[in-house]
Amino acid sequence: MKKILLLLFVTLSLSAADVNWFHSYAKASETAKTNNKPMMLFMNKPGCGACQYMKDNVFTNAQVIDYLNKNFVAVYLDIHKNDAPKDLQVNVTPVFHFLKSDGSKSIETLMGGKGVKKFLPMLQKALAASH
Amino acid sequence: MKISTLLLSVALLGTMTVAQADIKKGQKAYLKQCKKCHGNGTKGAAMKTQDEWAAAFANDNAGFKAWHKGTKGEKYANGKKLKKYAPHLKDFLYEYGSNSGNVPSCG
Repeated sequence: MKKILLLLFVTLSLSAADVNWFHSYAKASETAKTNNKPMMLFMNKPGCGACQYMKDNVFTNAQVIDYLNKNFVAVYLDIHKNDAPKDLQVNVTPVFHFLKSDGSKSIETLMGGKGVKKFLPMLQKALAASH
Repeated sequence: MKISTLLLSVALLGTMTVAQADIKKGQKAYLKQCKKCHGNGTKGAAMKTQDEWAAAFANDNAGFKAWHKGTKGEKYANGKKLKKYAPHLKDFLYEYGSNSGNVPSCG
């Protein structure tokens, strides 16, 4: 019985560890301004293999999750229906925009994805460029 | 003399630009010729490491041809199309090889 409860607790703890995504640019922007945090926009679309790779391999990594949740306002947007400004709209996916809290770009936009080893340093670079 | 040297340099530069491999073209070639058997670009490029891709395209794509021997892709591997697009395809596959840490975008 103890084992079952422990397993249940572990499972629940793991499923709770996730990136705190915003699904609206307007709300994310407001939060970023209030908390003086930079934003990371993940522009994706259904059926995109590379987006799925990022979701399965990068946004499940504890270090990435922790770093994003602590330092960024993470925004998850479908390229076909979102409220982001015109200059952030794209045709290919995934695309990552790194923005300062005022909405201006902090580092160059990333087209395509990266593995954890390369994505984490990008987040660190974006954070450093945001202040 | 100086003008002819300049013209020659410009012509050579032009040729070099045309001959340069292009990752985007490689991705297009992959999607057209390889996707059916190997899946999307993310999966396909991640089948091998960067060194393995580089080796596969050495010596007139010998490794690439060997992999496809007796498969549906044999005709393509020994055909004119691969010869034409091999530098681009190699660049694409190398850029996104399994140990590259890069993932190609979807068109």
